[in-house]
Amino acid sequence: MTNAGDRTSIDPSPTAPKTRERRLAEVFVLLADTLVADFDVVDVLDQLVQACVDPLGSTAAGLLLDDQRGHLTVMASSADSSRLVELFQVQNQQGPCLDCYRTGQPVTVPDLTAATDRWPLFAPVAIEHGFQSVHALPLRLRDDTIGALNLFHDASTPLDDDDLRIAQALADTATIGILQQRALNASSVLSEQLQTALNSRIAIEQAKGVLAAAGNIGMDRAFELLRRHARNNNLRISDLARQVATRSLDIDVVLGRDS
Amino acid sequence: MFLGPLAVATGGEGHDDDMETSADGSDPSGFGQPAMSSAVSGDGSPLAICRLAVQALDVTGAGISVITEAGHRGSVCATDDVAAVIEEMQFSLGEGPCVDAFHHGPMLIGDLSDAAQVAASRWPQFTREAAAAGARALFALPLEIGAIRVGALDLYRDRPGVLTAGQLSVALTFADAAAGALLDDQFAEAEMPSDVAVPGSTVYAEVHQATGMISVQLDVGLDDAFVRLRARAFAAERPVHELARDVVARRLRFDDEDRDDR
Repeated sequence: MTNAGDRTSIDPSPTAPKTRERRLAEVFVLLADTLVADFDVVDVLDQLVQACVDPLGSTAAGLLLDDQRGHLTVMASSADSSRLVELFQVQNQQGPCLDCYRTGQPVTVPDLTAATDRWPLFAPVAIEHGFQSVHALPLRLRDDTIGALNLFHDASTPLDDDDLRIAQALADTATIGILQQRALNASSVLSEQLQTALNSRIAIEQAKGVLAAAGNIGMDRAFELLRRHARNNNLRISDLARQVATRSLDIDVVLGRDS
Repeated sequence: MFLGPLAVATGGEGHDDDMETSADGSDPSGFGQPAMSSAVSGDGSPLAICRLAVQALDVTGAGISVITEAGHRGSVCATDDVAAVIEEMQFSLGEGPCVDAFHHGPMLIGDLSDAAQVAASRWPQFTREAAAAGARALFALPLEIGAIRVGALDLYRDRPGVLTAGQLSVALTFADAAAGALLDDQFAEAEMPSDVAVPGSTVYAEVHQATGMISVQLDVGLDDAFVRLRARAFAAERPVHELARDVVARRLRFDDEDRDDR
């Protein structure tokens, strides 16, 4: 690989930015890999929020999608804290992610303590959950906004323009993921695709409940087990979730217990 | 405070006298989905939901079928003869959009007389016969709540034309209501208010998590667990998602007592 060799020699110091670039490249490779195969939208979005946190220096990330019934719904979250904060926004109809979704424009909140006037309900709750700054990037398709990618930071260190471009590219990748699956099935439209993804998300929550009750574990742990079993067995997480939720497979196997 | 009760179509228990209906469609109960409230007020039966869907969506007719994983199927209701034919034909032919919607998600066909669309569809014989019966556009939506799948809602038009994004959004909300109505047909013994019947709360992950937990606690199907959760919330006059939160936090457990307690 002469190219790689050249690059190494041109840039002698393996400094932080380069490491970050590499990690970002890995995120895009991961997503590209996922998108070429017969993939699961829920899985892609989940991987996206997990993978974008680290290279962007974020504390947590989350993704909201239009639920086709006039609401936003939390599709993926890298941490419990961001999930709670996003749910709070959805339930109270207030916050930067909501504004981003409504306007189709990115919303940057460098310092949440200075944003209590704008979002009197949201800002204190976000701070309470350990966040100091938030960025919301729209998932945009021509004139339609179908959701938002949200990046939460535990310090008031806003992303710079380069970071924001990268973050928007990640949001666009998510949009492409949702749309590309549409292309695989010529008869369907975006709304159908969203509907299927949303319903998969519900099946995952049901499966988490089944595992949590059967294994006496928390919801986060239940999701981890679900995800791990899907990856290890090359299953779509949605398909596995349906089997677990309806208990049409041996739950003990997913729980890692011998039956 | 509740909207019209969800009359069970197969019922006969006759709880009608003590039911309270509110005509204004207001939804102070905190179950969300204000847009849906007015739509499902009325008796909330599958047929009533179909009739409302016809009015709201600019379609000619609508019908609902029950489908199970085991393949047991049947037409529940239809608003007119063509809709009834569409439902029945899919079962006699063993093919059609409602069966496919059940397995694969929404099926939207804007023009049944378009040769290309017919060729691309997986149901050539059904498509020809539906067109002969008088349908020109057909939209089939699965009735599902996550892994709970109960059937499909078919909407047809006597002229070609796709559903707009807004109409599809409303149609999906009707599908949610119909899914709740069918589940109550199958499992609920007491009447439930139609706003409880609307799952509507994809916002509340806890509702679905609690459904999974209850299905393990009581060793019942997800569908049954979901109805019990809502029935108990209704009996306690609490929003479903609040009760669900207690289940998830393990402050509330459904156990053997609940087997007879619904």
